[in-house]
Amino acid sequence: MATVSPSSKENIPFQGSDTTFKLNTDSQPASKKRKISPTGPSNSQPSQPSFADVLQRLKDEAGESKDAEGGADSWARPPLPPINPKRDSIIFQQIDIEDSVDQQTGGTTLRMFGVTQDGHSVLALVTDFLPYFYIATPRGFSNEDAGPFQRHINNILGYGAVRHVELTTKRSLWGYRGDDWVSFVKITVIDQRSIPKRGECKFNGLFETDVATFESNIAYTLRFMIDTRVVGMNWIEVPAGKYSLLEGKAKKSHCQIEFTVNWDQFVSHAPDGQWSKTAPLRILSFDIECAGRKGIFPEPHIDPVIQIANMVTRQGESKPFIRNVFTLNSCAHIVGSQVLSFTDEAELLVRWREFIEEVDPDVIIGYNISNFDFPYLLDRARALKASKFPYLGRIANKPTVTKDTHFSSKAFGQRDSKETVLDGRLQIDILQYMQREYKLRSYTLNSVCAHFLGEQKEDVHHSVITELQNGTPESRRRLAVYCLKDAYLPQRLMDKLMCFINYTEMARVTGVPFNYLLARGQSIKVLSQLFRKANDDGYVVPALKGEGSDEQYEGATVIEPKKGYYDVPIATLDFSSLYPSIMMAHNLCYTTLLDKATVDRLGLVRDVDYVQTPNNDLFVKSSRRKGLLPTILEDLISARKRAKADLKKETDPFKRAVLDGRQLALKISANSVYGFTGATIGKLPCLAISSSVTAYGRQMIEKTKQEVEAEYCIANGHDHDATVIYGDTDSVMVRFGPTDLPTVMRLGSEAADFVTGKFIKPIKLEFEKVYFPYLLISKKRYAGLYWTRPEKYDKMDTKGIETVRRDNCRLVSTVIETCLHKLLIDRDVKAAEEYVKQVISDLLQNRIDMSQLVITKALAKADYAAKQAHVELAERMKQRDAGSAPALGDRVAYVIIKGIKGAAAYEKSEDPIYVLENNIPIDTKYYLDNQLSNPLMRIFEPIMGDKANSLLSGDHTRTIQIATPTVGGLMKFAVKTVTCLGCKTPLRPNNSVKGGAVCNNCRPRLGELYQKQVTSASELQVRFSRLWTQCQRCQGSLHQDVLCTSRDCPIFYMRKKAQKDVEDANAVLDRFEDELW
Amino acid sequence: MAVIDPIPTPSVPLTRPSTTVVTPPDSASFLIGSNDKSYRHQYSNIYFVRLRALRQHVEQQAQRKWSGVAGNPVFVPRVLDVEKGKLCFVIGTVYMEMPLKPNVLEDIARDRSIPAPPPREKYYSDSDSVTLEDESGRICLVGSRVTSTCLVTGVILGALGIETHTGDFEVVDLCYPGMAPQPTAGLEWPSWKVSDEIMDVDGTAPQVSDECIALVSGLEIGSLDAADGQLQLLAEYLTGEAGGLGEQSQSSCISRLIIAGNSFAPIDTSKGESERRSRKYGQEVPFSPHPTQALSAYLTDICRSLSVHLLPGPLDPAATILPQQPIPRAMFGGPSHYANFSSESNPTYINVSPSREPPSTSRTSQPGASSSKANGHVEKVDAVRSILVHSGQPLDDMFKYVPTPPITRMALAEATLRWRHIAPTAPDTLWCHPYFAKDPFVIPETPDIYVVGNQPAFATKLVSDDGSADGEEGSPKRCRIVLVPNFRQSGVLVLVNMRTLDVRRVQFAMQGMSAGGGET
Repeated sequence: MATVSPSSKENIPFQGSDTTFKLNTDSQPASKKRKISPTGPSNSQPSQPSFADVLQRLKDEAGESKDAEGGADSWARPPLPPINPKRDSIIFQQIDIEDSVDQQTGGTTLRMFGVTQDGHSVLALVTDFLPYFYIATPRGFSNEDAGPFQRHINNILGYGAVRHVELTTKRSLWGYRGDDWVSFVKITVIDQRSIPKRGECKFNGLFETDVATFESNIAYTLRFMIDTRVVGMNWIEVPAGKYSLLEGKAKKSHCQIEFTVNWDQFVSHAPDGQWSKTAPLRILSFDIECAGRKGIFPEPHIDPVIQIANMVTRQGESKPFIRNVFTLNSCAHIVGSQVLSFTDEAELLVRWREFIEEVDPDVIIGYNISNFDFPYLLDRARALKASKFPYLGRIANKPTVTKDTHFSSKAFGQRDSKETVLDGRLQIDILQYMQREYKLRSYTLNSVCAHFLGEQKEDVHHSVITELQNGTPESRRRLAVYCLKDAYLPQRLMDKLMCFINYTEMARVTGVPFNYLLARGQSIKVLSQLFRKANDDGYVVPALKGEGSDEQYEGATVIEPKKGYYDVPIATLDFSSLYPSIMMAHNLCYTTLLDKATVDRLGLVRDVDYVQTPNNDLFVKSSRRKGLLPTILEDLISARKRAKADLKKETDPFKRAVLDGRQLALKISANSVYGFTGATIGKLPCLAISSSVTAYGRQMIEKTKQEVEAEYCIANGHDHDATVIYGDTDSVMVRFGPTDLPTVMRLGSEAADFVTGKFIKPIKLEFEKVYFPYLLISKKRYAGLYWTRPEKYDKMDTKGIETVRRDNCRLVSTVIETCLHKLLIDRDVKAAEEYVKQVISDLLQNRIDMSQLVITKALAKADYAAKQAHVELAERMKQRDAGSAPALGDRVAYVIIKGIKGAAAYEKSEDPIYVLENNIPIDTKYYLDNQLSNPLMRIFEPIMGDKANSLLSGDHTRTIQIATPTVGGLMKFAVKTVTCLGCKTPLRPNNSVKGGAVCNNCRPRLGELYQKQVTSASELQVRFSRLWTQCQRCQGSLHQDVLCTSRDCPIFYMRKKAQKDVEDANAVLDRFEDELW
Repeated sequence: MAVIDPIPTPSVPLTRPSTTVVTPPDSASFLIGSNDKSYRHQYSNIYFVRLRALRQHVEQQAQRKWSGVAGNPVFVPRVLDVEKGKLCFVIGTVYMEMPLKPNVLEDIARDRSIPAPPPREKYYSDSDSVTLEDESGRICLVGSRVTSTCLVTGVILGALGIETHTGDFEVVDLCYPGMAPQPTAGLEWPSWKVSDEIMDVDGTAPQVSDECIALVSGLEIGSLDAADGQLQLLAEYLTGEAGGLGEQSQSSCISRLIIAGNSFAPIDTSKGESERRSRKYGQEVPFSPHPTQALSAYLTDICRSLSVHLLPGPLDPAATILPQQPIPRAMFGGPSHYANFSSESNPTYINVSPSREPPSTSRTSQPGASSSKANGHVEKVDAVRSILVHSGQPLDDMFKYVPTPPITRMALAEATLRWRHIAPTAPDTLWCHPYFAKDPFVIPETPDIYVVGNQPAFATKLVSDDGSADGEEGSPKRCRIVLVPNFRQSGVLVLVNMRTLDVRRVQFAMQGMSAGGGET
């Protein structure tokens, strides 16, 4: 089969680089997450109405009049009734607090933004709250010295930075030094900048050495929130007569209600009961489109913003009440949404800003808005000299700017990003949320939607966007519909995943401002709680110098797994909230940490006054002092119990969502305390605590193993000897022996109670589930059917096997998943083997769909030190066609092709489209050896033993089909020879007719060969039809060409291949026409 | 068919009428020319061409039909420009939004390869919606007028109505392109034998002596199970070897046989196959030469006696995608040497006219043969009957779109004439070739006979349209629709009289066997 078709012209207009140009970050989000199951394949692809239809439906449901299509008449907030400061108290939900320095007075004010129950926006200017910090009182320093000390410092600094100095009695959080209270100097300063940053100060030579400071490293706004007991997103009540209303010119913001209030004159409601509600916040979801040039990532100083689509929803409502799109140049009408067309781009931008001001959203969401949309809009406005544009916040006349931020967190890795502060408005970049909360194969909007919403999204490449823009009002309408959809999807994702509610509850539980949750790491949340609790109990928190240390401590070890395939029920015993309960049980805390000197000084007795942990750290017992962390944990756990109990009773779906979000936030908070103490670059690392926790954990797992094995043995009258086959962090897997589920479940729960009795409260071992069958591969790698009731299994559970790693191709996870399904659910080893062989055979015969073989990587930086496949490919593609080559930030998709012998993998990467077009052979051996073989061996070895190798060699690997490339080195010199379709003999003039199909010897079989060829061509033709008509349906138009270039869509490469294959097959079919029949 | 004791012989030897095939114009050809072979185009082109071809006809019809309607409806050329609350009409392509349509994405999600879609009986469900689309966009059609009408994806129509406040288009009335012009309608087909003494003897009605064409489909020759008596009877009947004089003279009127698909027995792909496949990892398509040989032999017999047109069908060894291209005649061996054997595309137009060659002796001996066209005018009158045949796939596919009852296959077949399109659901659910510059399924001229093969039951109807609505000149248009049942199950051969367009059914059955005797 060496027929070569003329060089293919693309059917889809562009085959260029990756489509979702906005995404460029790799991340490793935290590990333990509540799972939101992706929409299963059974109902995953409902027949999707086109998005234009969706818009129309939204409109139908809103019942809008003709003139107000897309909510054109509901931009403004509800009008404000007059307020009498003498009689009316103001109650609002605060959403954001920020500090600002008054230009005139130099004083610091806090701005508290919020929304009332009736949807009016509020700005409370909180006055007279001053930042402060502590130092340990120097020896001999008395109350009389306070005044001179203050004057001295102010003299040195040259201005009245210090407002007040006083002596207080407090205790340091760090370490147990007896129960005495100690004197501290509290130094109150005029603004935050005057606070020593580095955790020590010298007072300019007043003292000989640096003096350690306390509580100097906490942000001013957080200080304020802690002191006034304000938590993120809670309700604030300002009583009548305690505030003064600002009106007219005095107003600093666009908020409807603006007033000043003294910092101690308002009531902060704890977010419980009636105060757990949420105000009708306005949520804007938007998306912009830019007209890029071919092959160049849009640059704001050149490429115009052509469309901005907006969807505004009130929190708690399911449908957006404003839907519109701002377009450059005319755009045909879109039912259900308002179209605002402009001829001038600057005017478009300015008008959009006015829209923002009028709609006044409280929350702004979008997909990658932080790193793309906002910076782009601002840069573009600057390029256009649209000086009125950059005022997107709520503060009047305060320009919006973008800052570069560097985010580094142990849990989330390092990330450079941009931040655009919009005063008084919350931001959720759904992309960042996804990267933080979910571990996915790909974070393109398309694949995220496919995963969570079960929909494929039409994806238009950015170079096509320019063409559509330069077309007709219809083509721009098409673009606008696409843009509107992109604006709507973040909102739908947010609703589906309950992002907003869960984050609100997280802010409330941990007490940090909402905006911290995406912008900051885990530790700030623990720190906020620690400060709150510490200050209540009279502790002051030392400001440690933030010095990173690489000190490692031993993590949770595991009981060495007894690998194998277990065809009997395996009971799993879990310690519930292991680390929190260890900290509670052994009173591990900063405040209880002892050193040898203190033990000696106070004459403490081991095991009476204090304990020595397995890590040889000393902590006092709770009888001497109850630790702060254990108290915090107890509060969190009991609060979670309450929330869960309420959740059971609650029937209102919205309140249920809130409660569920809360219990989740509480659980995460409790679990992150341990990590906080171990975070060596954090604010308050204490390895004595974290190492002791893990040491206890190890001990407990070991002990559980001993106890269970000692108790459940034949010697004790049981039918079998129980064995612990594996144990990890907080769970042990026990093989009790019996083969029926109910017995094992009974034994499991007995054993859990039995072992629990051996530990200190509140440590609790729970029996949760039974795995049956169970495939234990190695440490942290296992799979099994998960049973909680004896009647039916709940699910198939896998750990460490299902590779979502993106440097694996999709084939791996498909094959592994299918095998596990066959092994565990169907329990048919033969079928699994057959399946693997079939796949390998298909792979070697080049019959695996390309999308299964594609590997993607983000092209993040321009120069990598080491050569990498995707970087090399991007470079090569640039040389071939700069227009379609992936730009920085694009995801590069590639496959590994056959190369010269011994070539490195990075030399063998190639663009999948190029491969399809030029028939380049895939390096199937690479896929077999480097991708499939290890995972397959891992799961089959425990079952088949040494025979597992037979999967990778044997009959099914004997037939190999290699495509004949049309490009590349040697092919220039190769002469294409046509071979006989019957016997593969090269056809020459002396053994066949010109252009024929077969050699003379095979001519009698012509009919048969023709039928074969026509059958296979027919399959390909049908494939072609099915795939392309599906794309037509997905895009919602019959009369327009399919433009979508979504590489995440499972049929993207398939349809391309179908096109190619069908032409090849037809070309072969044509040879029969020239044949002598 | 009992044994007749003395075998009567006709006094005059029976002869067949001879007809010639007039090659239809290129525009009405379903052969995929070398220009059209490419698969680089998308399917939007077909819709575009179709809408462009039919829009004007719909508009003419609509202007005529609705100009008198109160409220003076205006024609809005673009669907999206419809104004709310104003009575108007638009023209576009129907798209049926149906959740039950086969979905590739679903199939892939299921087992990650593309198997043939599990055939669904119906796509129809309560959650379907009807939209009308043109180049500008889509609008949703609502109202009882729409829901009660038989509609499928791809039909070009005009809709009169008002856009509701919800943005839907409340339809008052619908309008189609209507039947295409029929230049052949006025041409009279000459009688062949008017009165014959033999006929008098039998007392058979005179029209039997008019020329007929025979229609059959679903022969499924060559299945390994049984040599089929029915097939044998059919061959004998067609070649004039069966029955008595009556039958023989009847069959002697038949000038051509059209076989509308499924002539090959499907290759048995039952269990033995799947087992073998699982062990073999090579790419093997099962092949058995038997059906081809059996069919060749069978056709050779018939070709000796009369002209045969053979169309591929859904089960035949031809590409699945429409239009199916002719099976290479060489594959048939025997019959391929006969000039009167034609391998046709599916669908195909077969235009037939009475022979213009010097009449045979038997014909000249009948002086009254064409008295109305005396003086040798016979040669000049180009009486042509155009026959449009397909093997049933378009109708089968459309049938999935509509609820049954009330909508019958016949109603759909009739509707396709008024839609001027025989396969509107291509390419949406009916796989078809990605044509770039034409849509061959548009009916340029209404055929005289419209044959649909491989249907579950025989049905026929003479559809007529007086043409006055068109304002087009010429005779009233009429078309004989014949739904030809599967022969193996029904044993039915259909004869259509070329002069009168009357239809006769001939049933073959073996004694002791039911009509569906082939199946046990």
